[in-house]
Amino acid sequence: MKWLDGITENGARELASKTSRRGFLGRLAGVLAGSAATIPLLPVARGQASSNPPPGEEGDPTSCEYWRYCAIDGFLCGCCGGSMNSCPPGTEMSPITWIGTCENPFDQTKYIISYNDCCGRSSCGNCLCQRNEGERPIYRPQLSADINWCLGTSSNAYHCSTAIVVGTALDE
Amino acid sequence: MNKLLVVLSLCASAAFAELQPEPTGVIETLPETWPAHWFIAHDAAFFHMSDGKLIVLDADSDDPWARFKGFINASFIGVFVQAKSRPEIYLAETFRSRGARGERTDVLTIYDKRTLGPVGEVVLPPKRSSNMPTDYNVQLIDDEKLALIYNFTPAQSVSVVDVVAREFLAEIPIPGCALAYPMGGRAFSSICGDGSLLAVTLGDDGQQTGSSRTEPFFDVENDPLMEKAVMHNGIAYFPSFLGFMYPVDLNGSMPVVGDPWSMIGDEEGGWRPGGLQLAASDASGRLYFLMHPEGREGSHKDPGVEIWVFDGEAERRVNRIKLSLPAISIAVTRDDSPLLVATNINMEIDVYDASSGEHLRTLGNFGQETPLILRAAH
Amino acid sequence: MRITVRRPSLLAPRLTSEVLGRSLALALTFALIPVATADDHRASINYMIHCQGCHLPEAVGFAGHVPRMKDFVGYFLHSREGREFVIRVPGVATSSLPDDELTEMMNWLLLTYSTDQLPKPFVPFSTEEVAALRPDLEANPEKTRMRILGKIAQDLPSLAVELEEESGR
Repeated sequence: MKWLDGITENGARELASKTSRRGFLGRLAGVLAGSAATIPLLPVARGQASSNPPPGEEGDPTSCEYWRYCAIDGFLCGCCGGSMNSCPPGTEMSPITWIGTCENPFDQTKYIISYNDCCGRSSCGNCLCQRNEGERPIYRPQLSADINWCLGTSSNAYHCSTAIVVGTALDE
Repeated sequence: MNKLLVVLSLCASAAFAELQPEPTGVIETLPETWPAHWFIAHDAAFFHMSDGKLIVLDADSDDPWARFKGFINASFIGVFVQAKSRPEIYLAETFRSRGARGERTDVLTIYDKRTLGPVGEVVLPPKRSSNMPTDYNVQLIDDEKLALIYNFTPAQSVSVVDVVAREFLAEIPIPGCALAYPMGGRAFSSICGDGSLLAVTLGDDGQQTGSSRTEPFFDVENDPLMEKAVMHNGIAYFPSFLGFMYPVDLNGSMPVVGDPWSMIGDEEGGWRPGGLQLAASDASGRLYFLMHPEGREGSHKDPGVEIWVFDGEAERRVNRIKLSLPAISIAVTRDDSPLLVATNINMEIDVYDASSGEHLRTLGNFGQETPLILRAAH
Repeated sequence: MRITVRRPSLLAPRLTSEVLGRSLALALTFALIPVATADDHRASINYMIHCQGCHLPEAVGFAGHVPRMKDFVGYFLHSREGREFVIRVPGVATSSLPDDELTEMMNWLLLTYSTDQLPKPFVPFSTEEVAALRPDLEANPEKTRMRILGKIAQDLPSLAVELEEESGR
């Protein structure tokens, strides 16, 4: 993925600052810098999504019990033409989302997971999962999975949910 | 006896010699006041959200045809409320010009309960909150003159509609708070992220005339209230995650928060309330809650295996119903011999006698439908 | 660390002890600007968990839906009511963070994402200040925001330009 390497080396944040998806790009740049995982960023040919757990994780990503999904509520994008951290073709990823904290059994570390929805298509229908650890009622919107988080996209039709690692939580 | 049979059979064959032609173009209609054992099952169509439906059903019926009374389309997780003073249903919906895409329009559609036909609509700001439906996404106040619709963009506000004049009046910001619980007169309450309740009073033009907040009265971190209260006689009963009941009197223009009491008492087994539409009440004021054992962090939406019935004034449990299948949503009919209807984990609707707990029948064959929300007919 | 900082005076020094006192105050002010510490990390995690869902990574916000804080929120601190507003907005006031961690995160946010907009010297929020302001939830954030910024913009041309651009969008 030479063109992606180029972006990170030349300062993804500066590039990101000029696009409306800056936060998303900025975050991915950080992830790319630290791992060998291939994450589709701009439209690329499919073939990279896999139902195997990525390096550094364990478990079955096709199962609702997978560690990243501890507060997910929706269809797994991996079953819909996307992956745990990418949207299916033709959908829009909602930047506004809800956030959970889940523990990776591989390294016993708690990670912050952003459950960005993919929007603009009607329900994917496959692999519906609902887990409610740390989830709270809708008067606490930042912790609520009962809300359709397709906000800020051109259509709020909900298609599926990702589970993107965005940081490491602290030990309590 | 033989002669009688011969005579009868001759008469019978004469009467049914051939079928008479039937008129075409016959449309069924419903009574102005729906029978007490009718109810509405809202299929929120989670798998095809634009094609949701309100399904009118007869809980008494063992006949698989007779139990269905009619359908109303409810687009994109519509939310609705029935009037009591007129035969109307108010349904807030979202449409897009090209189905899953295109220009968005939100409307409050007004349905006539006799014809199940739309008789009016009011265009709303395209902001209504899209969430798993609750009873408090849309509500009526001011002797059912005003409808309130909760918005979330993520800025929080409430749209006010005059459903008699059928016009949009105002949008009221309710920052940090959610939903609309009807209060006495021309006021509503919203539940806030700091553990308080907001109370807003409106003028007859639908504009805000004042607002106030209670002190925070519940622990948002350790034992949050569920937003899915059940209301009876103007008192909202909020269950908490750990099983405490918080009664809040909303009859005046300022919420009066009562002392919480334990729903669990001495019962062992880690019981907690949980589900989707997990609470209901009957005409006598009994409160019904879906309950599950071995509760833990994250179990607040688990299906209930029992229904516990409480006397809100006496602050104690008075009955306990074991469900034939775990359920996620319940409703209780409005009469004095109420039935309890429950959407079970197979997405069919179980009907119980609400007093004895006897399982009477299961209403099934909903096809793709997911009857997530149940409302007894007014 | 709870230190009440007086703004150092820029008037000509009179007595030696006063000079020393003012220098100390100045030194303390600048010493309070946090450098990378474990607390900064905690602040950034708290931002992710409690704020990032709507305000997005790096506090860039989302035009038309969620206010931008990056390269902007510091402007509010140019007036007392603006300073208070930043704590009284619902996302901050009703946050599940306790007062001390909320204070830490707000100071981190201001310095990390909007240091150029801050008044100089920057007086960080104290826990007591935040605790006192939080219960007074702002009832109409959009209107109040515009009013407060409009006033501050009268003395800050850079903000006036931003507001014009914002209204043009």
